[in-house]
Amino acid sequence: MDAVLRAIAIYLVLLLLFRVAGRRTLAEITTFDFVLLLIIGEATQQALLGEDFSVTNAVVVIATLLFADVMFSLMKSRSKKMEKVLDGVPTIVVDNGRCLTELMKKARVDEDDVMEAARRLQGIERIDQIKYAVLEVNGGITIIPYR
Amino acid sequence: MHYRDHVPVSLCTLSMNSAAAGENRTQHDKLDVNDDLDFQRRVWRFERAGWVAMGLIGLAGLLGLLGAGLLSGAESGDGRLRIEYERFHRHLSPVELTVHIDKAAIKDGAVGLVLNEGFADKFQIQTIMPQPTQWRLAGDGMHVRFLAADFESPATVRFYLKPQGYGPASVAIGLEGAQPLTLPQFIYP
Repeated sequence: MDAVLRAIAIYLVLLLLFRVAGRRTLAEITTFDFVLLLIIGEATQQALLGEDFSVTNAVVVIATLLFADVMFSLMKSRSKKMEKVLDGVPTIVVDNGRCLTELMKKARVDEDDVMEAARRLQGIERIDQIKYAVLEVNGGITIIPYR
Repeated sequence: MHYRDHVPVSLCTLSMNSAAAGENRTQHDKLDVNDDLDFQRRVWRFERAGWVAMGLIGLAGLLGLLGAGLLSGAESGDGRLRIEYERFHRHLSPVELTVHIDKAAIKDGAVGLVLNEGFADKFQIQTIMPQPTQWRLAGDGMHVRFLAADFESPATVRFYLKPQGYGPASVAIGLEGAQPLTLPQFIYP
């Protein structure tokens, strides 16, 4: 019984914590972010499994976590509002070639990040070639160049 | 006719522009994609069945059919002995078994319990609270004895156990010289 409750509790806590940490946190994974992720996994494991290292417990916990994830994704596909709350919304950070500095600051994106995405995705050389840059809900930046 | 022609079509719209649904669907026959919609539909059906199965596993876990929980908790007793135990265990996952002993069970200032071979087979005893004063081997199993004062309300002995084996465990616990209580249990891997 408590395996299921623990799994749901951990799922919700992690959902909340990563929502609070913001989408930029783990979008572009640096080495340190990767290590951080591993540590989070280690810390979570204790709470999730307790002293129960049986196969049955692993199956129950994994099934519960995935089921919760599927249910949330179904809820998100049914309700726009739910999707907004859980995933957030995309944000335009470069609008018609103008950097929206206030939004960029709040979203923890700077011109270097935008240029990096522009080079990687579009092979863009200078910032004035960017028409739009959008911070997507997954934390990545997409670029629309001037044609 | 291409199989994609059977798919119901509406124009992709975001909430901002609400164009009416139309039947214009571009043929992607020039697109080099190895798609297979019939197969994909089977995969989707399989996925949905899997979701239901995952939900059922979670529900079974919640109800206590896959380990300790609501439906797993059980009780067995006669006049002098009442045992609370779990029907379902998980391999190596610590569990508690509680024996309530009535004062009628005291004989010569002590209470003796008999744990059968099935119990010893499947469970490792981590601790017994209170500690027994004597262990004795006999043909019908292990005898554990506790010194007992003349208590009024039933006294409690707690066994902290670790299930060792797998599968069904035929456990029987009783008072010395009395018919043991059979406590059918099952250990999941």
